[in-house]
Amino acid sequence: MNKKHSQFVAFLIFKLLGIIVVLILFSILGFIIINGVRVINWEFLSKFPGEGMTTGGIFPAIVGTLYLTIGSLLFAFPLGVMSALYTQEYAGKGWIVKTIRMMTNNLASVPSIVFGLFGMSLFVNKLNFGDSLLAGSLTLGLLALPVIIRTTEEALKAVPDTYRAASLALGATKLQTISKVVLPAAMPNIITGLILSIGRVSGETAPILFTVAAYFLPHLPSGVFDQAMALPYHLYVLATSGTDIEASRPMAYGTALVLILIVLTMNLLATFIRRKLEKKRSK
Amino acid sequence: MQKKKIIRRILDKTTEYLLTFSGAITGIAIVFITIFLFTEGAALFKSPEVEQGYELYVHAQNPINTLSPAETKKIFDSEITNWKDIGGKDGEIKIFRIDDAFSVYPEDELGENYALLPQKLGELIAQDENILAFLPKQYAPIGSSVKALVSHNIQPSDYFLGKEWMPTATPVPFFGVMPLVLGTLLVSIVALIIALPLGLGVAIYLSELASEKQRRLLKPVIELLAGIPSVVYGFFGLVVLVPAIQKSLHLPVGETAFTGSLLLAIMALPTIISVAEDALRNTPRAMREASLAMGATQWQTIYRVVVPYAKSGISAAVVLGIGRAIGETMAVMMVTGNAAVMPHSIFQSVRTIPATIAAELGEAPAGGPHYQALFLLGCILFVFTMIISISAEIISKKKNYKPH
Amino acid sequence: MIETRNINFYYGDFHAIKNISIAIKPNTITAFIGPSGCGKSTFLRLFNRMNDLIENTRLEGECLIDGKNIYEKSTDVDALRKRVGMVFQKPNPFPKTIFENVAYGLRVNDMGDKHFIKQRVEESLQAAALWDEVKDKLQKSAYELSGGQQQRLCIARALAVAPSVILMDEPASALDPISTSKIEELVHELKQHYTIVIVTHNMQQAARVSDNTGFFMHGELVEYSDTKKMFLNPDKESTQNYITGRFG
Ligand SMILES: Nc1ncnc2c1ncn2[C@@H]1O[C@H](COP(=O)(O)OP(=O)(O)OP(=O)(O)O)[C@@H](O)[C@H]1O
Ligand SMILES: [Mg+2]
Repeated sequence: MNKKHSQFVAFLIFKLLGIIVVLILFSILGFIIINGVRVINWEFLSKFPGEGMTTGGIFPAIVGTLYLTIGSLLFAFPLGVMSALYTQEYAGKGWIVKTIRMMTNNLASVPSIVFGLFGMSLFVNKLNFGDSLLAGSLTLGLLALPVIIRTTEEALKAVPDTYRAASLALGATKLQTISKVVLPAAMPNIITGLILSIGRVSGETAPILFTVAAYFLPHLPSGVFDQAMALPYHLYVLATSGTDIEASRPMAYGTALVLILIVLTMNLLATFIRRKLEKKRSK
Repeated sequence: MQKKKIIRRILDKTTEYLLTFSGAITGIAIVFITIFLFTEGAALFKSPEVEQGYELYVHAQNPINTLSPAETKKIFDSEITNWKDIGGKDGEIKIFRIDDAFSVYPEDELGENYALLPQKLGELIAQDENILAFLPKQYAPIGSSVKALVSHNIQPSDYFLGKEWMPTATPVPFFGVMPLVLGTLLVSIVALIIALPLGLGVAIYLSELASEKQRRLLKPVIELLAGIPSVVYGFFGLVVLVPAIQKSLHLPVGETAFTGSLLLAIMALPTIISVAEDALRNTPRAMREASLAMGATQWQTIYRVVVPYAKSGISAAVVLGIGRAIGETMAVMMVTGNAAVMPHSIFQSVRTIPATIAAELGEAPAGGPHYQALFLLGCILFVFTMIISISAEIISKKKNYKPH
Repeated sequence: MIETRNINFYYGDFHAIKNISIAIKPNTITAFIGPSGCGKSTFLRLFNRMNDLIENTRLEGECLIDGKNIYEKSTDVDALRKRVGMVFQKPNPFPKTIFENVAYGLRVNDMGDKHFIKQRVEESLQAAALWDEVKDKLQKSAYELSGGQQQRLCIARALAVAPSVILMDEPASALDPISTSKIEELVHELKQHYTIVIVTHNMQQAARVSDNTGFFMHGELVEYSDTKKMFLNPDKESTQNYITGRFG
């Protein structure tokens, strides 16, 4: 077999492989979209579940997920960005920073169920928050923290050192250099990281299983110590333990589609904001 | 002028302290999580083997002083019925539970709050040398002819090498993690065997063969798929994969290790494709041009130059994929059936470590041995993923050849 | 023998090569000079169809090598590139051993057995004046060599498949003066067996090594003649200005 024939065969295989795998992946997406689109309407988005979750909507789950996402990032985003600024701009290259970095990297790969375990034990039991928005948000925040630190660090690293040198050489202080030169340059990537972690946090089930999620609540949470419903857990419940699983299937498809739409929106938003900010900067 | 400078300096310093403080908080939080997990988990080895709050009692004349968990289990399962079989005197073992007390004594004989129960129990045991009583400690029988069997603490070897996971069994729960560890590894490894060749193939297709237009269409969708919550994949697996596998392979149930692997493979594909594609595309143009300029075909260039160059990036993707697979909870829990038995075939139901935690934590009483055993499972996961992420780091740092 | 006839080349809408016709004789050294961005590299890369790799480009006209238009549909591009070797501006050895770098072209073109490859690698390294420096570390990574050695390794790599033409795009621009003069000597040696086309920014280098010189500007070939004549008595004023450094 000469080299042209082997190229032909190899490329044929790869093309087939590519087409097959892409078709499979797309069909999953298509399957949920087609089944979900029939269900989603205003009523589905704005009503409470009814009749053993076979009718009605998912409004409280949407609200719960919204609260949880906001709550977790309210604490994880500032802390993460500031920690990254510290390790990247202030701390030297000593062993402390190296250790912190190694540990954040490890933490970023720790399975989410382990966060759930920790959150339940510390926030729910030891600190006595009970199953609550507070405990759930803190747990999810811890999960998002290493991700935010990492993306922020990468964003700061991508700012060329010459920018810093140029600013410092003009007599600017370190704070001025960071706030006027480094942060604006790194902002598109930091924002992208934030938005992508919104997508991640809003879809996590394992960490909220034992810290906040409720099977069903007839009212919306009214304070941080209340339990809440959440979209991913709601889908889990609908899929595995509803009173009448067959009858609640349509609800499950609808919920799955809403979750996909959230991730899609976040991805689009991230791309959009990034383009916008980059354009503005290059002007 | 002077004043401005001072203010600036103060601001500068304050920021520095503030940032240092956040760095410290983060560091401490991470250390805290780790220590917390491990202390909670390690407490398991200070718990007795017998179910919490209970003890086993026998007649004082009984030569047996202690029973191993396995022996206890066999006795209560009626597999051992004679004291002789475990080194005692000949005589049929008579199991006595607290409920039995109420059939022997009418409730009014036991006094207020069962105050007289310990004494009655003591008398009862004194009457029969063959009795084996499993009783709550609060009603510990009183009397000179009663002795409690010596209870050991749970041993690390029972936990890490144990082959049975029966956390709620009475009188002795079993916390052997082998079936869970093997289940996790089985599901993850099979998933990787499926996902790797496919993922790399598609990555090569995308980075080397697809047109710019195709790539611009496919890349974002693949990234979207990588971000879809695992519970959505789990739902898909439940409604599509499980029945499909059951029907096509003629199995009694569709919830098998293989279903889990297949679903994990599907979930891992987008990540593997996109990371590997990035690695392939990072191969410098100069390398491809050098190869093509020598008369190599595109395919020769790909497998002789591009893939070897991207090797470390690709292996990092692989290792991260393993980490993901091992820690994946919801999707796997929804499609593997969750039977905590030693896996013998991939077409059987299995239970993974994360699924066990998720399924049992709700019912395990806080602070009890079951709860601690679940924490220890968390520690095992933690160690697994730590090893994996460190090796990923080492691999991706190790560029086999560094250009000047 | 290389010949182009009314070649035009476009990157999208950008007209990079404007109607160039040129004839290059075998076993000569031809230098292309001109200001940055004038199209020297683009033109050079037309000879081994390297520009095919860039998307959204277009070519008009003919490029003949040994009398055949290399842009005909029936052209075997891999075989063409084997015949027309190329050395790039920056040394770009593969992340492989020194030996494997030189053997690469032989392997991908299925040329000869183990014994032949070994012999050919040695010959090529000798021809590239690198043998003495690397003969004891053939199994070491190519990246352990200095920049100048790496560039000579790339030349050896190009020589190994026995091309008839060698294209060099600023082969010495990333190197120190000593490495540069070694490469220049080498180019001079190679002339006996190969047709060499070399792009350079270094006027003295062009004057020292080449037989003929082409001066490019804004995608046009302004002047093409004998090197001595070009440097002593150019026809065009812009050439004169560029050579004497009066060009902006
Ligand atoms: N891949 C490309 N896509 C679009 N335009 C290109 C591309 N490569 C080169 N050009 C344009 O074509 C023109 C000629 O480029 P070329 O690289 O041939 O110049 P050059 O003479 O080799 O310059 P230098 O001396 O700096 O290497 C330049 O204006 C450049 O901007
Ligand atoms: Mg050039």
